[in-house]
Amino acid sequence: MEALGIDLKLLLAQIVNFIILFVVLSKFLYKPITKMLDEREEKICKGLKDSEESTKCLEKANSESDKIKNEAYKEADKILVEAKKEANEKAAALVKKANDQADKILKNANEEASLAKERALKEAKKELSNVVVMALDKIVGEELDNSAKEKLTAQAIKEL
Amino acid sequence: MKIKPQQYAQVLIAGLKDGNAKDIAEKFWNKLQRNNQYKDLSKILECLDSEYAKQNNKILVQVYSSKALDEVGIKEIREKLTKELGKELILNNEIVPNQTAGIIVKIDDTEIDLSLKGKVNKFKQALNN
Repeated sequence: MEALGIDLKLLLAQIVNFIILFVVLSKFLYKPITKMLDEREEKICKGLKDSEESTKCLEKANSESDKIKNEAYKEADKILVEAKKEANEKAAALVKKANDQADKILKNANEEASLAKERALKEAKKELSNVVVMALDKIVGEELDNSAKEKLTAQAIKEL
Repeated sequence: MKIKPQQYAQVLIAGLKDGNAKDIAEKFWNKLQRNNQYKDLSKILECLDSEYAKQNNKILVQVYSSKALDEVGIKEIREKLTKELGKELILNNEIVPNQTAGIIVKIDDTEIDLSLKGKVNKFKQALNN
């Protein structure tokens, strides 16, 4: 050993030193660092897991929100359609009522016009007959001579 | 109590049949005076004719004309109405000067207007209808 230049005592001392150093380091350095690294790893895993769950929750919430929004849109559409239908029905009823009223007014006006026409015709007829009768009265009262009167009386007796 | 013209007429006819005409006439005038019914005299005379006709089963016919009808006219009316009514007539011709021409015949409540004025009125009614 000495021929190889190796000092056995020194080698042994170095081996002992190495062992002592290894024991000290493994007890006071490697173990805490390993433990710290394990804890760190566990924390990161947990963070990742939490993040994943949060993402899932967010997706679920978004999906739920979309669903609610769609339902709300559908309901709003339905309400709008019903409102339009009701408004159309009301408008149609109003138009019908207005038309009926207009028809009634027109009918009344026509009836009144025809009544007025009838009255005017009747009045005119009455006036005309009065004039004719007045003329006849005048002719009968003033123009007839005795011979004509006797002739008319004889005719009346024949008519009896 | 006021006596109706028809009652006067009935009493007069009955009295004239049985009693003295002068007494009956005197009593009649006194009664009219007492009851103040001179204004009913024309009605009483009208009733007298109709009552007399009724009691003798005859029909009273009044013919109104502007002038007195001649015998021919009266005869023609009498013949026509006797034939139509089937009874003997008492025919009076009353003069109504304002009736222009034609005749009006009154049989009880029925009036046949054949006057010129009546014809004009009928014509007027026809025009108005």
